Amino acid sequence: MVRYGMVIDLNRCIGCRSCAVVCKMVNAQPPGTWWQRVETVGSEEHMVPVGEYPNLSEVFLPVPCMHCENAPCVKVCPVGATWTREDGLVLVDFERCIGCRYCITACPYGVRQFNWQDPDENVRQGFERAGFDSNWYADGEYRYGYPVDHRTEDGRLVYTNKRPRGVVEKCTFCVQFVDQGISPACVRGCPGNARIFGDLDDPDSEISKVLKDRSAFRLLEDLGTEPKVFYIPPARKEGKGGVRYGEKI
Amino acid sequence: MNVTRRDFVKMCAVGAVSAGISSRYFQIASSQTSGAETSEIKFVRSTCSPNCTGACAYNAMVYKGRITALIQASDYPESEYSPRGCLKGQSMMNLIYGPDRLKKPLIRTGERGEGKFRAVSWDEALDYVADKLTEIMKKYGPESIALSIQVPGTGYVHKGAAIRLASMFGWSVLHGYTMNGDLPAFWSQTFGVQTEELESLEWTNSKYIAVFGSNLLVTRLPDAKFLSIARERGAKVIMVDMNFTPTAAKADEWIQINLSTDAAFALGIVNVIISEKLYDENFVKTYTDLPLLVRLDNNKKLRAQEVKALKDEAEKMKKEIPEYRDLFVVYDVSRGFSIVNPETLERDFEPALEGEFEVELVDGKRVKVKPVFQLIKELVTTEYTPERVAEIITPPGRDKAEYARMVVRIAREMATTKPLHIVYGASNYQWFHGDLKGRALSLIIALTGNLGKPGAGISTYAGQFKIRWPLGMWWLFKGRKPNWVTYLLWMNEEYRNSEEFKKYNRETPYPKNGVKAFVFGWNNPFDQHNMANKLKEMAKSGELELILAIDFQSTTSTQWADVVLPGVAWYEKYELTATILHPYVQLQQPAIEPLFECMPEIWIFKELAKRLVERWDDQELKAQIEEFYPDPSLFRKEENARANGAWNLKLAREIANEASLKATELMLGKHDLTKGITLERLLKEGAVRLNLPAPNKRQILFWEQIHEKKPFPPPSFPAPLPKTARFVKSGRIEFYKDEDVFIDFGETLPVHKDPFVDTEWKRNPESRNKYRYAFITRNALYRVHSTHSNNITMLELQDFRPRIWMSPETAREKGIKQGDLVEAYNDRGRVRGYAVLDSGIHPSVIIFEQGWWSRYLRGDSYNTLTYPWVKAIHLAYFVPGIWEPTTVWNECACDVRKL
Amino acid sequence: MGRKYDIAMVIFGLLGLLGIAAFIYQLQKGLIVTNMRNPFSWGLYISMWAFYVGTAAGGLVVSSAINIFGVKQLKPIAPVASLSAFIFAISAMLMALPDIGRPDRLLNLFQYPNPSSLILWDFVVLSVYAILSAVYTYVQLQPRIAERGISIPLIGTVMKKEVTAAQLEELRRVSERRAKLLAPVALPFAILIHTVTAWVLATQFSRPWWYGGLLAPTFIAAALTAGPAVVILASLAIYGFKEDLKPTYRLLAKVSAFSAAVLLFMYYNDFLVRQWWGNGREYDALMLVLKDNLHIHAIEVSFLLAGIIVLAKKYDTFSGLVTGSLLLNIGILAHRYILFPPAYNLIPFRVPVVMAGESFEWEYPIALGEVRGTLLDPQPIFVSYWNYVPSAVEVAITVGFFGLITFAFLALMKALPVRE
Ligand SMILES: Nc1nc2c(c(=O)[nH]1)N[C@H]1C(S)=C(S)[C@@H](COP(=O)(O)OP(=O)(O)OC[C@H]3O[C@@H](n4cnc5c(=O)[nH]c(N)nc54)[C@H](O)[C@@H]3O)O[C@H]1N2
Ligand SMILES: Nc1nc2c(c(=O)[nH]1)N[C@H]1C(S)=C(S)[C@@H](COP(=O)(O)OP(=O)(O)OC[C@H]3O[C@@H](n4cnc5c(=O)[nH]c(N)nc54)[C@H](O)[C@@H]3O)O[C@H]1N2
Ligand code: SF4
Ligand code: SF4
Ligand code: SF4
Ligand code: SF4
Ligand code: SF4
Ligand SMILES: [Mo]
Repeated sequence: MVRYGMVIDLNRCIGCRSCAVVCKMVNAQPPGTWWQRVETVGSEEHMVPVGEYPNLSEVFLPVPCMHCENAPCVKVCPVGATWTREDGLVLVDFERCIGCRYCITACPYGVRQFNWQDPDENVRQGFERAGFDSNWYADGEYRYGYPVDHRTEDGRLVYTNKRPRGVVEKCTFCVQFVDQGISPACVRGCPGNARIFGDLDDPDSEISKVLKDRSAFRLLEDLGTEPKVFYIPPARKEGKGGVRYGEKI
Repeated sequence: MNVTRRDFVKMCAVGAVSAGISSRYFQIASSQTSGAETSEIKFVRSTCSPNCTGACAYNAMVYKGRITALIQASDYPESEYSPRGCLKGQSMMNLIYGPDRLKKPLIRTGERGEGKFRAVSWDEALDYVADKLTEIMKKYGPESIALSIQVPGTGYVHKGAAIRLASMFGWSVLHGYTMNGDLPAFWSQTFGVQTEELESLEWTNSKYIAVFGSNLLVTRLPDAKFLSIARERGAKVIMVDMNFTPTAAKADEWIQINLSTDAAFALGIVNVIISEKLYDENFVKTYTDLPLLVRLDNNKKLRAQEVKALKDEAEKMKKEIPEYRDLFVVYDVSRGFSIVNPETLERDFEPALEGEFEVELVDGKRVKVKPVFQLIKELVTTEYTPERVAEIITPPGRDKAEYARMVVRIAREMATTKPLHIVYGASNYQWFHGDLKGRALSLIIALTGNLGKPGAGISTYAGQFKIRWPLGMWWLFKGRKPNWVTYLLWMNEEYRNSEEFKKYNRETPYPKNGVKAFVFGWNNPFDQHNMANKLKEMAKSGELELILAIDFQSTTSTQWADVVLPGVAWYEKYELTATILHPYVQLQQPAIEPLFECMPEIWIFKELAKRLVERWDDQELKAQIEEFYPDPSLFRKEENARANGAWNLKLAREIANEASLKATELMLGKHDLTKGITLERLLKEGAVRLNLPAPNKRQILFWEQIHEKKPFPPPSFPAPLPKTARFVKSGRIEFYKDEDVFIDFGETLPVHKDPFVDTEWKRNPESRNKYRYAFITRNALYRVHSTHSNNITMLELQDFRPRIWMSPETAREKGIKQGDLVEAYNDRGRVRGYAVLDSGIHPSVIIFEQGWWSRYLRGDSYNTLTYPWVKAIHLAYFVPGIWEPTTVWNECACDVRKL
Repeated sequence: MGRKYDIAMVIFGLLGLLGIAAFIYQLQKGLIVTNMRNPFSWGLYISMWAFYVGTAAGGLVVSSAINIFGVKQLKPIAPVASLSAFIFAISAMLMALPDIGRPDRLLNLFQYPNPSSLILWDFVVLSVYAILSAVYTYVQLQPRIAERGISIPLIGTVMKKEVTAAQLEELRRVSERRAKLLAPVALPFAILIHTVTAWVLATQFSRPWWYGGLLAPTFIAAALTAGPAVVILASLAIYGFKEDLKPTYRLLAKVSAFSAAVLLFMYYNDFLVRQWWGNGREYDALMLVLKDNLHIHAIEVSFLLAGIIVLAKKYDTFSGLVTGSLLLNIGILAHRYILFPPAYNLIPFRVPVVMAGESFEWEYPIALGEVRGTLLDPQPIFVSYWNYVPSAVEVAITVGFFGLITFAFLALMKALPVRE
């Protein structure tokens, strides 16, 4: 059985937020909605250090949906609109969700997003806030995002760029791509080469090998949600005076 | 199937092929997405190429004629480079389809800057512009038209077309490099080149990377991963910056120093390297001017012709060397005074590096001479001991003794860990004495022999302006040449009229009737280059008689223009890109038809050329105009269609596309560097590596000089070698400069000079107490300069707020709290933003991230604070974009207050 | 009663119309018209839902107390009590309606029920409870209906039968027997609706303000406070402050006041446990109560205390009963409201950050789901604290629904032969 997971190497992560943006654009999220966030741990502002001189640090932490093995969002959904597919993807059925938002309350990672209004309205308001004279795309019908609806084998609508109002949504591990054998957008779009996606159950997959070789952790492990997104912690630095000399000096 | 992940990603990047893949990584869960609909999704490979010069490969996902998503193409031949790209490139759709997109040509109806226009037809706009320009050319001469196209490397075809037009009439071109302050003047002073650098893949071969004020994680975002990989491979990374940055966070060590004191730090390092004899003697003797002798009486280098004993030999040799070279003298330990052949770096002498010698001149006078090395040694052992350096560089409140020890430690590390790579940031050299800092840093590289090797050298990664091979065949219309105007001289009339300028200027041109028309494309000067509000004043006063903007969206600058012509973005045209750092040649391909009435720039310039020629009295040009398009038949085809009424925008675009491809072909394959790179290959392979001289065609600095002993400098295109070789007449890396202006200003050798002393405080002594902070305008993660200022997704990530960063100390003093609306200001202007308290910021620095359109700044421009300082040393020679006065944004004092 | 009743009906009717209008507006615009956002996803509606679940309890507890434990004093008001149970159970479900993003898809609850979701079970128990209390009310009123019928405005009296005294007596006996049979079934449901409602929240490991075993008992205590208090008010309205009902009121007042005391005890017991350790998420949640939401906490506690005192002392006066019951209900309302700010404003995803020997928990901000502010005064998209205050629409819908409920309650009271 395949069981998809993701590794994010925090040594490699440069905090550039490209993953968040490519996710947003490809998955057609309206202004105000972010399936993935990247923040500087401990800081009020991204890319502003925490600590006191000289011990300043910036650790960037990208947070997509963890696709928890023991997913509270799946447990609480009264209508099974959120469910775990056989390959481990936690998905939301856009046509079944009744919008009760119990799952938002249940998810400890804050990754679930609700369509509080018609997404077009978000776009309009966004443009208004951005100070545009006209408040719509120049090409009126234009919307960004993967253009085709995507359904699972049993016909459930798990991706659509025409977002229905009043339902919940979140990172799908890019189900529309994974089902075509393509990696998620944020993996393909990470210029830091910080992300690996693949089958956790296949011992020969790169992700399994990396997880075997390197120590990884998961977020809020004590909650028992068993995320399938793993992080490689930032390594210690050489610091003052530490030079690793090569063979030749 | 045994594929690596990268290969796999590569394969999968193009969705169309993916259906057939059965990899052990993916068991394809079948889906019910209707196959028909998915197959309507097309992918077009193009290249993102704004002014960051990243030139990242993208696949545009096209559905029903619209770009729905942009994801990195990940198809680089060296898979380490994949995926290149960033959040801005990924959200470019917001600009292409955004509300600011231009739709039709516009002619101003209101006051300048008011933003009132009427939409007109292309014919009306082009005729209007042609009439105006002809009138101005007739009245003031063609050189009174100034053209700016910014970074040439991002678009050889269309930017080339603009220069082609300028060359037809002899307009003045503003070189983007100096205009932006990106020209690191030390390169020409020291190495005789425009710039050099390692390609980022080479970073992984370094064992020590010392970054001096270059925020690689933000400003070289697609390359930043190589810093991580280098560290994984055992390299140490240090970041020297007065402010903490994400790059500092990734580095093993962050060294905070005072404002613009890098030269002092570097010279302290040089001190330790010399006094502990950690330098590479052979390298120094072979490749640098350090063994050359300097006369102590007049501070000039000793010429062979001046030496009695060497005169005859010198005169003979002089005939064999080019006129731009000079014959210098070393003191050979066995042969005494000897002439150095400037045309080779093959060394047939054993020079003394230290000591003082007396030499008899032709006129019988005996003068004392010393090798440059000796002078440097004296300089650093007196002025730049670790303790004295610590006095200069140690930030307030920190332990100076510790800094002195740090200088010694870092010097030892740098000298003994090889290969060493120094990255010298643009922001760091955008100071009045930026050239001195670069010269001092180069000295470390030269002393330690870190050149010509993988992973070694010194790099500057500003906007990457260099063009990669000669382009005259397309850029210059039948060999005609444009004129040049220096941006700072244009901005700074006061300096233009000053005694200093008159004294030192030798060849820097300035249009005799001044600049009367400003034509620009690919830049937004009214935000980015409006120093001390000069541009707006010139626009308001009417001094500028025509302002013509070409852009694909409406910006602050188009608001100030008289005529706005709608161009296209990089998914709407064919274009050739080859920026520095990124060693590939790539093609941009149209993924969609241009929106509305937007037109490829090549067409715009061709139409302008055609109309200008009709109005301009030059029979030769009239006869040749069909050749504006690289294939005259294309020109005729469009004219014929016009004549018989079959013309429409679509046809014009098709022809323009064809002409673009023809121009591409015209530029490829003519030079060694592009041999074998054909249009077909670019279309098929995506990115093709230039034929660079180093092994594996890697971009390594001065490979030919170090390994083939060719003299410095290698050519800097498009300048002919004689123009640039005269900067380093010895054919060597020069640290001692003896032109009068260097002597007059005491900069024959690299020295440290404090910021503001020769600028702000000289101009207005009061500013010393009034404006105690440096206004540093660094580059933002969310913009490429002002491009993406209006990208709604980028705005969201910044909470729609321009920010002003300061140290908590400054904030406390000024009664400012996090999030307060504050204003940074000086006598010239102001900018407002929300305060961010950042304990990584030096207490005398105020940071603003440049690039905000004034729409987001309550109508202000952050460049009202900056001032067009001119450094006289930059007038010693003139070669556009290589040696001319360069802008120093950071040399700007300000104060900050809560609103 | 006549004129006052009419005025009340008009007022509550108008309020109801306002609520319906607001609801229609919300349906048109989406939940954006509320002040809930992604980081604070349940607000006033769900507080009211929890509140109504509580008030619903009282009714059945009262009426079943009569039949199971034979608390005779309560008998006179039994129908009112069970009717209030029915009304409030319906109200609770009704109150959840405006909180649902896609009310048009409610049938999915039947079509695709997910047994692990406690909301689903809550819906089930509430529905059963509503049916049971309806049946229970009917059973109790059956003899009277036969005797007097149901009077519906404009239509007149229906269901009235010609019965003899003997038949009536027989009907009464049957009714009593059936009530006795129903009571043991209904009572567990009365308990269940609170426990399951509490479990909806108490199972959420990531919300320390709710998580744990103590929430269900406090829900029951709250129900036993609000329920009887509501019954007191309803009975006073229907039956008036009659001498023979005094023992009834006294008992109800005692139950309510005692439950409130128990509630406070359990509440502060929890406070103490959280406070003692002085650190951690449980403590931080408490601090959100004592700092950011002190005003609400002050309301809940002072009203509850005042209510307890008034009911304990003045249970024999009309004004005492009314004041006490109102005080307790407001206290419980505040108690319900404060379920949410400390739960949501303690972002579950917190990362411990250690610096300079100190450590703090940093809250990972959440995207709001909306772009706010203006060009010159833009507001953040990502927040780790959302100062939730119900919007005008939320208040209008809540007040309106209250009007509607009261309107329905009063109408039923008039229509049904609840009086002896
Ligand atoms: N995302 C993004 N990338 C870009 C661009 C963009 O706009 N956006 N623009 C591109 C272009 S054209 C350019 S020119 C480059 C510029 O790229 P960079 O050279 O990296 O420029 P900055 O970001 O302005 O500044 C980097 C650092 O220089 C430090 N600094 C300033 N003065 C001094 C000094 O005197 N000494 C030392 N040691 N440090 C100093 C500042 O504190 C700052 O942290 O970036 C290119 N890349
Ligand atoms: N105070 C301060 N000022 C600075 C700097 C600083 O550090 N401080 N940095 C300076 C530096 S280093 C630089 S490089 C400059 C950069 O300044 P500019 O060169 O002005 O760069 P952008 O703001 O990116 O403007 C590029 C414009 O070209 C348009 N454009 C892009 N692609 C195309 C195209 O294909 N066709 C057409 N027709 N238009 C196109 C975009 O829409 C945009 O409006 O700013 C300089 N200004
Ligand atoms: S794109 Fe990659 S490097 Fe950038 S923030 Fe995301 S994970 Fe980090
Ligand atoms: S991270 Fe949240 S939304 Fe994702 S599976 Fe886990 S609980 Fe569900
Ligand atoms: S909001 Fe939708 S997905 Fe979430 S729990 Fe409710 S029905 Fe399920
Ligand atoms: S896997 Fe896809 S949906 Fe999830 S965060 Fe990455 S890009 Fe977004
Ligand atoms: S903006 Fe620059 S770095 Fe970003 S994708 Fe485009 S070219 Fe690459
Ligand atoms: Mo630049």
